[in-house]
This record gives sequence, C-alpha cells and structure tokens, in this order.
Amino acid sequence: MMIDLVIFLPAIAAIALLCIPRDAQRALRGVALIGALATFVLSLGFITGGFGNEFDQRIPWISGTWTAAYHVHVGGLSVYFVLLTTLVSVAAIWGAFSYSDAGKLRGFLALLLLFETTLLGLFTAADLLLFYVYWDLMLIPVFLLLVGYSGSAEARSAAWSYLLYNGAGGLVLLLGVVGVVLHTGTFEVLGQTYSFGTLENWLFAAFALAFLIKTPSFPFHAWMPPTYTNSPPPLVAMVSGVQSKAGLFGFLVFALPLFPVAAHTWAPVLLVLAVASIVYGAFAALGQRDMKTLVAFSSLSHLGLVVLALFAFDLTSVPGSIVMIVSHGLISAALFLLLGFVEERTGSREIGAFGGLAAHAPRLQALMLVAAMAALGLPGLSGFAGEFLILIGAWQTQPVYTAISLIAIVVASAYVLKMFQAAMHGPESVPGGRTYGDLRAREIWILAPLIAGIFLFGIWPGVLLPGGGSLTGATPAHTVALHGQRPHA
Amino acid sequence: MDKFAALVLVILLLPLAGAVLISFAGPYLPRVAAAVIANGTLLVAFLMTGIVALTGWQATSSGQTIPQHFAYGTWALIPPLKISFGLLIDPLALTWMLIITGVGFLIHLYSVGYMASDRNYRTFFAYMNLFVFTMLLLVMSDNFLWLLVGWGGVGLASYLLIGFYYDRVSAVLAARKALIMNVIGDVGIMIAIFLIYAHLGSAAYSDVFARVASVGAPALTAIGLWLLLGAVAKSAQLPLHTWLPDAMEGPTPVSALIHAATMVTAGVYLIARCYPIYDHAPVAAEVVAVVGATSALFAATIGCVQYDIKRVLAYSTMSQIGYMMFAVGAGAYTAGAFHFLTHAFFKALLFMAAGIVIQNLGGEQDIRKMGGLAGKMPLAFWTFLIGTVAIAGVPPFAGFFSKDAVIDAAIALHHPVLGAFLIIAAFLTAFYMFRLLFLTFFSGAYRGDGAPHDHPMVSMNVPVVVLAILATVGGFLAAPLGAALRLTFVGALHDQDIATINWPVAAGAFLLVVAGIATAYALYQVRPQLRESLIRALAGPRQLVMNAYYLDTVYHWLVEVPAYAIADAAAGFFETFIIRAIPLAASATAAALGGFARAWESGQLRRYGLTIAVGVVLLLAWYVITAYAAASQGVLPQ
Repeated sequence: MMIDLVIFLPAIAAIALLCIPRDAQRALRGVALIGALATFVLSLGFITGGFGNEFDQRIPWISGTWTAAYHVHVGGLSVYFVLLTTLVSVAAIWGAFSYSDAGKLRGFLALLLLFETTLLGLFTAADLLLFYVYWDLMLIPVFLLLVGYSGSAEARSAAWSYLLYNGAGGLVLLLGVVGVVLHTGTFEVLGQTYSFGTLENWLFAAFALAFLIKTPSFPFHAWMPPTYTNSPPPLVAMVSGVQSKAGLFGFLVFALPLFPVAAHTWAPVLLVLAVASIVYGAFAALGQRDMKTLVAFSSLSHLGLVVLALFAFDLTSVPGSIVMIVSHGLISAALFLLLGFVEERTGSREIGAFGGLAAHAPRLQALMLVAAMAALGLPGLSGFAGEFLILIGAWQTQPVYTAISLIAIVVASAYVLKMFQAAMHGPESVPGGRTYGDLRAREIWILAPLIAGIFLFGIWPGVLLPGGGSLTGATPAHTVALHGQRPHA
Repeated sequence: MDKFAALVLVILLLPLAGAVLISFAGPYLPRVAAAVIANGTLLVAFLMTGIVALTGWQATSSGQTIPQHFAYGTWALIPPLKISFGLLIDPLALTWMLIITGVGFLIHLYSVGYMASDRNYRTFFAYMNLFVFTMLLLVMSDNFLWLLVGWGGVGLASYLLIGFYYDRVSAVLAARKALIMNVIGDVGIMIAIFLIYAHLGSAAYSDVFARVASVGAPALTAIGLWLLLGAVAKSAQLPLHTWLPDAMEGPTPVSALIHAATMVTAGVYLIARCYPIYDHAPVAAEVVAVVGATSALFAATIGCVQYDIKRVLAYSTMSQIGYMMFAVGAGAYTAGAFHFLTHAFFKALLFMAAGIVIQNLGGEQDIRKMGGLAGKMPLAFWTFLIGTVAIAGVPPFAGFFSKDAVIDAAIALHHPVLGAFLIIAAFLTAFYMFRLLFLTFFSGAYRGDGAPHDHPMVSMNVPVVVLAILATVGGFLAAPLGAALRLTFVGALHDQDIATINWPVAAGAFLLVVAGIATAYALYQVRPQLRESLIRALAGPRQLVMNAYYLDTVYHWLVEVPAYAIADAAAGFFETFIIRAIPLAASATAAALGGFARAWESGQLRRYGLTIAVGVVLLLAWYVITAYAAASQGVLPQ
C-alpha cells in the first residue's frame, strides 16, 4: 500500500492539476510541488529503519499458461533508485516553475509528474511484465514534453529520435521478455534461478541491448545528445538524473541474476563498450560548444563507469556502482538545472557567447563550482567516491580496462573547466547587456538538497552502504552474479 | 574520543570552520570580521599544534610514548575493502603542520594589508582558509584515501587562488593548466592506491608499511613510481612543472603560501611519508632522486634569465624543491624535511618582500623596470637581502645548513653525478638570486615609470620581519628536528643525521656560492658591458633557456593539440557519420534477418510461434528504424 501510494501520488497530483484552471498559476504550482514533496517525504519511509528494509506487495494478475502478478517491491537495491527519483523530481518540478509559457505550465507540470510515476513504477516492479509496461510507458511523457513544450524544430526532431531509438530498444527487450516467459511460464522471475541453456546468451543480449540504449552506452547513444540538449532543464534533469539509471537498474535486478552465465560470457563485450563510453564520452564532451551537450556526453562517460563496475564482477565495484548511480543522479540534475538558470539569465548556453558571470552572480558561481568539481571527480565530493570505489574494485579484476578508463578523469578536468570557466570567468560579457541577478532563494533551495547530497556522499559514502555493501535483498543469484564467482554452467 | 583526539581534530577543522563561516556569511560579514576569523582560526590552530608538538616532545624526552594515531570513523566498508577516517600525528606530520599553520598565519596576516583594497577580500580569506584545511588534511591523514582527498583539495584551493583575479584571461588559463596537470598527478596517486590495495590489502599507512617487506620489489617499484607521478605534478618537478611559473598569476600571498612554502612541498611529504616503500624499492627511489636533482639544476638555469620577479622566485622554488626531492629519493628523508622547513621561511619571506616592492610600484613585476630601490624601500630591501643570502646558502643563514645537509647526503649516499648537479645548481642559485637582488634594488637608478613610494603597513611588515628572523636562525633547528624525526623514520635504510656538518663539503659549496655572488656582482653591478656582450654571444642558448626549453610548446603540440583533435573528431565526424549511422545499419541487418525468418519453415508448432513473435517484433523494428532514419533527416510529420 505504502509502495502504491509512493508510485501513484505523482499521478494523482497530475490528475488534480488537470482539474485546476489553466491560468490559476499559483494553485498549479502549489499542487505540483506538494505532490512531489509528499512523494519524497513518503518515500523516506522506506529508509526509516535503515537501508535494509524490505517492502513487498503482490496481487495475482494473470494466471494460466503464463502467470503474472502485480508485484511491487522496495528493498536492498531498488530503494536507492526510488529515493533518487523522488528527490530529483522535487528539484525538477520546482525548477519548472520558471517555465516561460504560462499557458502551457499545467501540462508541463502534469507530464513531469506522470513521468515520475512511470519511473517509480519501473524501479519498484518485481514482475517482468510490470517492468516492461513501465519501460515503454516512460517514453510517452518524455516524448510529449519534447514535442509540445520545447518549442523548437530541433526539439521535435529530437523527440522522434528519442521515441524511435528507445522504442526499438523496448522491442528488443520485449523479445527477451517473451523468450524468458516462453521458457519459464511466468513473469515473476525475480528470486528464481533458471537454466535457459543455449538460449541464455541470446536472452541476455536482448536485455543488455535494451539497457545499453536506455543508459545510453557507446555506440547506442545517437538519441542522447539531441534529447538532452533540447529538453527543458527540468526534463533533462529527470531524464539524465533518473531515467538513465533504468537500464542499470535492469542489469542489477533482472539481467545479472537471471542470466549469470551469459553475463560472464558477454562481459568482454560489455567491458569494451563501457570503456569506450568512458573514454569516448569524455573526448566528445571536450569537443562540444553547447554546454548542455557537453554535460550530456560527460553523462555518457560517467555511466560507462557503472557498466564497467557491473561487469568487472568485483566485490567492491558493484556496491561502489550504487554510490556512483546516486551521485551521478544528483550531479547531473544539479548541472542541468544550473545550466537552465544560466540560460534564463544570458539567453545562451554556447561556450564563448557569454562569460564572467561570477562578477555579479557569486552564488551561482559557488553552486556551479560544487557541481562542476563533483563532475570532475574532485576527491571529497560524491563523484569521486563513486569513481574511486568502482575503480579500486575494477582494478583488482580488470586492471587494463580500468587503467584506460583513468584517461577520462584527466579529460574530465579539461571539459569541466572549459565549461565552468567559460560561463563564470573571464571578462564579464553577456549579449544584450547584463539584466540578470544572482540566484534567487527559490533557485538555491531547489539545488540545496542535491548539493548537500554531493557533499554527504563524498565525505561519507559509507552512509549509503551500511550493510557493508552486502546489498540486502539481493537474491542468491545476485550474489553469484555480483560477487565475482563464476557460476558453474 | 579522548581529549587528545578531540584536540587534533579541532586543529584540522578550525580553518575549515573559518572558511565556511566566511563563505556563508558572505557580504553580511564586515571585511574586518572576515580577516579576524581567518587569522584567528589559524593562530589558534598554530598554538594548538605547538601544544601538541611540545607535549609530544616532553613525553618522548622523558621516555614516555604518546598516542600518535587517532581513529574517528569509517569512510566506506565494502568487505574486504575498509577505508577509515583517522589522523596520524607524528613528528613528520607535526613538522608540516607547524609550517602550514605558523607560516600560514603570518601570510594571512600579511594578506590583511596586501589585499586590503580588493573587492573580493572575504572570498580571498575563505579560499585561503580552505587551502589550509585541505593541506592539513593531506599531512594529518593516516591513510592514502584521505591523503588523496587533501591532495585534491589543495589542488582546488590552488586553482581558485591562481584564478583569483578571474576577469583576467591569463589568470583563468593559468588556473586551468594548474588544475589539469594536478589531476594527472591525482590519477597517479589513484593508481598507486589501487596497486597498494591489490598487493598489500589496505589503504591505511600502518597496515601498508608493516606489510611492505612481504611484497616483491617490482610491485613496490610500480607503486613508488605512480606515487612519484602525483608528487611531481604537485611539487612542480620535471616533467610536470610548467604550471608553476604560470601560477604566479595569483595574488602574491598565494604564491608565498601555496606555491612556495607549503602545497608544492606535498610531493616531498608524500615520498618521506612512504619511506618504507622507497627503502624497499631502490629503483623507484633512484628515479625520485634523479627527478629531484635534474629539476633543481633545470629550474636554476631558467631562473638566471627571467625578468619577472615572481617568475624568478617560482623557478627558484622548483629548484629548491628539487633539492628536497633528491634528498628524499636518496633516502635522506630528514634532510629533505629540514630543507622544506628552512625553505618555507626564506621563500615565503622572499615572496612577501617582493610583494611589498610590487605593491609599492603599483603592480610592476618586471625587474627591468625596477632598480635603485634599496634606499627607497629599506624594509623590503633588508628582508629580501636576508632571504637571498639564506636561499643562496651563506652561513649562518638557514639555507646554508639545510642545503649542506642535502649535498652531504648526495656524497655520503654515493650520488656523484646528481651531487654535481646540486652543486652547480647551488652556484646558479647564488647567481640568479643576487642578479635579482641587484636588478631590483641596485644597478643604477630606478628605471620604471612614476615614482616608487613606500607605504609601510604594519600587518605586512610584522610577518616579514618575523620570517626574516626565522630565515636567519632557522638553520639551528637542525638538532631538535633531527631528533624528532628520528621517531618517524624508524628503521630507515640510511642514516638520518642532519646536525653534523661536513665542513670540507660545506666550505667547497660556500666557495661556489661566493663565486656565484661575485659573478652576479660583476655582471650586474660593475660590468654591464660585459653582460651585454655575453648576452649577444650566447643569444641562441639564452633564447632556449628564456623560453624554459620550449616545454610548453612541446606539450602544446604533443598533448593539447592531439587531445583537442580527438575531441573534435569524436564530437564531429564520429558522431555524425558513425553513431548516427548505427540505427541505419541495424535496419539493413533487420531486413536480412527478416528474409531469413521467412525461409525458416519446418512445420514445428513451437518454432512457428517463435517465428511469429520474432517476425512481429522485426516488422515493428523495421518500421521504427526507417521512421527513425527519416526523422533524423527531418522529413517526418512534426
């Protein structure tokens, strides 16, 4: 019940919004923000007793040749994803208050809330059918937000690119799901071990391809730069901060435990793609002129580290990847929202088109500095904690891939500074003269929880892993897949 | 947590508290209050460090043992990995802590006057306090992870302060360069930690050093070399030194504190801290010594031809750290720490005296536009003179003793070639420092525009005088320092004696110093014509040295240009023609597979079922992909 409330509260708020007149701006904002905040506060209930709690609800759904259940679960692994979603959603929905077209604000907020519900549904799904349904439902709000609420032709083109590429990924996933269910006769596969025989490699490949497209991973990221660049800041904060974790969640919760043997068989390929994402993403970020696209590629690079962690099969790197997932969610949401604030003030996000904002916006500079340094991997902030735990673990099993990945850390310092300094430093110059002020109180409060998390999980990542990284709730199959022993085929 | 553990934690956190307070109060805090908070936190931290040091000193003199190691909590526990947060307060850490807080306080005090008219006065003190905190963390940590946190933190503080005048493009670029090169060093330390964890199973100093003997030399050599990468980046040694001269873009107190007295010696601290590793990895230690001695000589040659007063001092810093680096590489850890101590005194002094000159000349840093200032700025002159004789190695000033200790070590530990490097560098040091002194304060009349004026400021003069005294008598700290550090370097491979002076060597080195001074005197005071003809005769080599051997150019073409070329290729060609073509290629594959599926008929019901499922999916995929291809060309309905 508790889980359902968390999942559907944003959707209820969205429906409530539709009952409010379009021009009642204050009411619209109030309802949307209260909905998101209430969801976040409720979701905190999952960790009142610590990270080890398990919440479970199961209602039979389909029976017969194939069985399925409405089975939702919040536990050891999913709790991080759920809390990240509810936290980032608050920031995104509050950030959406400054959406420029007042007439469209209602729809904008409602779609963001619906998007939150699909994300929460995905991260709580303990049934493959449910997971698949949310996997595809997620596409709709993002597509509509891009098509209807960005106002540019590029955004509409990006929307199609997003929908079709991810839709193709969804179809591949469907293929995999169908394959699994034909074999097992049930969608409730979590916690079970199956022997798929030779089919396992193919099923894993289908799951993996879908997950790599969603994350995205090199070379399946063609949809990402246009989508991230053209999304309004609150949307991209949610897509990059949360939705990009859907594939990683899929690996952790479904693909690795279901197909442990195939995961090891395919590991060399995934490791190569991971390292390619890490290094290629970093260099591609360095080559950008649009700050949003730059951060988009840095995201490609940083999430490659998570894939590296998962397929290095090390005791430390997998729990480390949880720190990285949470950290990346906070950092990328903060960066995209900050770039939104910058764009509101300067009308641009092009490197070299403006500069020197630090002179009259010291608070904007300070918060941007924290987020930028966290993305750069400055020791003491959460980005470093994730990177370090992943890399020290991955080094033990895959030193060569890990060593190559380290190149990206140096390149990251170059692209992060390229962006940060271009915006903040140098002689003050803004096209059309300076009309902006420093961050307002609302903007600071939007960012405050994200920044606080960046500090907290950097200084003390252990707070995320109180069980010593044992990831309570992980099934025996998990333990096999995650903890490095090669299972006997 | 017992009293002592709380005390050392307070020492660490006081400067941080100051930084946080000043940052959060922002413009609501009066400027005076910001200065008081910054100075007050450092003074208290210094006094508390002094108490800890004296307590330890008394305890050990009376044969007791005092706790050195304080554990506070766990950073991350992912069995088998366990990383804690703890502090190690031994004589080595205390040596650095006393300089960081003590000299740090003096430089803060100096900044009260030097930065008085700056718009971002509060920010300056917040950054300076942040630096002191991270530097303390670096030397107080009891494990490699928190060392790295401090290491990265000082890199950030250094970046912020080099780029303090952020509206100047040159400062912005210098800051960027410093941070990127330091991140290269950070990666070196990360790899070292990964290797340490792989071979020794821990990141805590106590575990690692206790287990060193059980690990083979090749692994320790690798660890030692990766640590060295971090050390050379932070300490501006060959080949990662090119950021340091540019770092002079920062305000002069920053140059004094971060880029002379403390941060740039972090590499020396790191090697000294890891002495059990280097004692067991002779090859890595030898590389450290070679890098140090080579850097000492290399930088000294460049120092001879620079005209910017701060750049001369920057190269001299690189050169002096080369001495320290050589010492710790050769195994004379105590000599390295001793030279760090005296260098902190005289180099901070030189920068601060130079700062007075620069400020009185309205920001002029070119020594060709100075001259004849000795009478006009007597305090700056006399203190600069003390700093100069101290760094040149004139007895009984501080540098004489510590440099002698390093050169003695070179001879005693059989490094004839590197020792020769150091001795030549000593000659060059005397030469370029007196060249600087003559050109600034003598060599005829004032050559600049406008009239130099002397605005004595108490807050600037007091610390300069204190440091001048320390630079004069600091050499006599050899005996107590040596005795204290013996407690850290237990079981070190080589003898750590620094108090005994090898008089024949000292006398020989001193003769070379006199020769260096005489040469400078001849060329810059007596015979300017001889200097001009020398410059003409050596125009080619001089050009090479003046441009710092063109290493900046080499790095530009070898690293920067290729990196940006790769970046542009990735962002441009590769994205457009490869990444976006993948969905198109997939459509072709899908078509081929579709053809295969049609031919796949065998009469089995299960196979038919699967075929239908696959077919539906592929048809959908085909539609999706072609639509995607169309959309990417922008022809789809919008």
